[in-house]
Amino acid sequence: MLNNISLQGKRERRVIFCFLFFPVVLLCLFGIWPIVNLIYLSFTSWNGISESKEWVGFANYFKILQDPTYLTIFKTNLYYLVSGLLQMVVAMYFAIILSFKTWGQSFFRASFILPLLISGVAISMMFRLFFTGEGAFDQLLTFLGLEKFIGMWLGDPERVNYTLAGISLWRNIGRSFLLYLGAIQSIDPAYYKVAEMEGATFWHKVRYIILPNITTVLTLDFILLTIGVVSVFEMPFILMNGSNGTATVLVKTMKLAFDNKKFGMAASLSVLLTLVIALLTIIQRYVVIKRERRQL
Amino acid sequence: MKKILTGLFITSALLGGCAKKATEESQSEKIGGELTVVTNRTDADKLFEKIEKGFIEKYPEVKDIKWEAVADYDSNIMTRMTSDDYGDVLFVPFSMAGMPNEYPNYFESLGKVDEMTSDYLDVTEADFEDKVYGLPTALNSLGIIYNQELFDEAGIKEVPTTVPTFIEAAKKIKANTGSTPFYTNYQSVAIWAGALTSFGGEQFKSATLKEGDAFAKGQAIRQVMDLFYELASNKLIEEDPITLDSQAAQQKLAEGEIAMLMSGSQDVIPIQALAKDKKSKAIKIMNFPVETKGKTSLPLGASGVVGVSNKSANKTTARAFLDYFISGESGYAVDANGMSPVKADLTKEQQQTIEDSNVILTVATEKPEDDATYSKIAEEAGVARLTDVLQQVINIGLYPEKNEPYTDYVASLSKTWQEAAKLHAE
Repeated sequence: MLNNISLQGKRERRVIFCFLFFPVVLLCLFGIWPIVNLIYLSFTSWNGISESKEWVGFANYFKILQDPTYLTIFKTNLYYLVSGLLQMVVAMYFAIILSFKTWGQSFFRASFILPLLISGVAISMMFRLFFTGEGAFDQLLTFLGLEKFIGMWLGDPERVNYTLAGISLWRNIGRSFLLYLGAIQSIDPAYYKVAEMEGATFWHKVRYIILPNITTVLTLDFILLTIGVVSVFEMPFILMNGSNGTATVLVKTMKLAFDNKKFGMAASLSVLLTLVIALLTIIQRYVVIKRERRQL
Repeated sequence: MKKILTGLFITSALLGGCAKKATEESQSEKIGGELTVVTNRTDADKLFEKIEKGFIEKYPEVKDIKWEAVADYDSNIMTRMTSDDYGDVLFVPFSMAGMPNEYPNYFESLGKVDEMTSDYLDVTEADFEDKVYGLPTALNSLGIIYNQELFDEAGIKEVPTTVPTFIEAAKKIKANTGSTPFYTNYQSVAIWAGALTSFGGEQFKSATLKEGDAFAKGQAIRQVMDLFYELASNKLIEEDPITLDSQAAQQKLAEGEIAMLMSGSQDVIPIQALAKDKKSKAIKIMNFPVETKGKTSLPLGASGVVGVSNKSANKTTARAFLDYFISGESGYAVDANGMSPVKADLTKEQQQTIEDSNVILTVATEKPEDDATYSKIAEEAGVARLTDVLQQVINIGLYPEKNEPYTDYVASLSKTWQEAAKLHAE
């Protein structure tokens, strides 16, 4: 009997090994190895094609941390943090409204999620047309009687980052909306029934039933948001090539690597970026856990 | 257990074996067999079919040519070249021009520079230590394409040949016709790199190295920057450079809404076809408004450079194909609205133009070590491509109150260049 069990265990292990072999090989080959390689590159000076990679130690890191231009780039990312917070609020508002029976419910739900399905390049092309001088957006403003605001939405250095952050809000709102809507719909309807019997208003329901029940999703969305903010790339790169003061950290990394052939520097910048994201996530987790403990 | 393990290893060995097979074939001296050609043209399947047919007719031993068209060529092929499998004949990525010492690691030498100069034009597009690693597929001249009708309307009698007269002409066009005088092509303003030899001579890089500052007054880059600043700050360019793409701009040039734009001679015929009468004779090309020896120069450059991979298993055939591809026979140059680099294949007319003008190559002819030092400094200073610098100049010109002053910007560039130059001073 005992022998039988151990034999079964052995067989089971064999099966597990067989099933895991290829996934693990693939993971190591395409997941772990590039990361290790990137970290190695960040300690070298390499032009991307030369056969020799010169070992420079921490020189790349020091250069980035000492150069003020890299810090100012982080400021550009702050525009997207603001738009991201706004996005959370707006998405929450609409998710609550559209989770109750409303006129045109499915149409509005779909229209929030649609931008998520369009590729970033297509969106960039769309908005380049949208924001041309006397283009669709300016016509819309004229129609609304707001002619005085017409200007160069992408050319004006004072406006362009707001424009891009606005596009990013429009594009990503679907993600937050979807998360919130799902969380709200999973709340047991019995809660609302009880609350209604107690004479709760709509606001009471939102404050005491919906919000407390979706905090987990809120934290998750906030973590996704921070990662997104640090790694904004598509819009400023495709639309603007990072010119006009729109270069974000990732755009700068791309330019370092492929325009200026400093692959080592670019690698260390991405390692730093990863560290920043990890740090932010850890801080957030820490805050959340602390708060949960307090509630218990 | 063992069986399974062996099975796994055999499968992976088989998988790996397939990839290796191709390189193990022996080198043959005869022209024949198969070729893989990697190109940057994703739009020319029919043309390639024709070329393949012509080549096989000439060398019946050749069985098949596989064409691989790669989009976003430069960055993709560079990644692919880190493997051994990048075709037998391929376009030489332009970004390698900054590191000529890498050519021998990836390409087969096609011959010596001085020997090839007698038979071909522009052999120094991809050269290192007196050896040629790539030849142009077609030659085009760069210049300013303009609309003669607008020039007439503005009262400009002669094509401007210096920067001041160029600016003056642009002002006249704006005042007298109301059209946009000049289109900057903001999104791909990097093409102005080809204008640098016209402004600073074929040896502008070593001249800059001697000067120690690429942004000092009179340097090639600075001259182009100043030109852009003058145009932008006087509002002589399109109103919103960021949203106007080059397709739309070419259409506007043909229709007389834009007077001038910078491009290669290959675009003249297509733009003429965009005009209302389909074949407008008013669309012409002029040289850059800068004179050397009292004459503007005709900047000749290659729209593509083609070479033979040194990992090819069939080098003789690859070389024969390259010769066929760039000759007048293949029809590739004509299709690209350019001329063949093979001197014997030039038409009388083309020979005449070349003799009459001050021909200058768009690729600097420098000693490799000067070339390498220059690129290293440019990369260190972050100005390896002109795009960022020129885009910033346009922005400063258009929105002077919302940016740092132009002089400050130039000064900061000078400073970074000089610091980078110190780092790489040998």
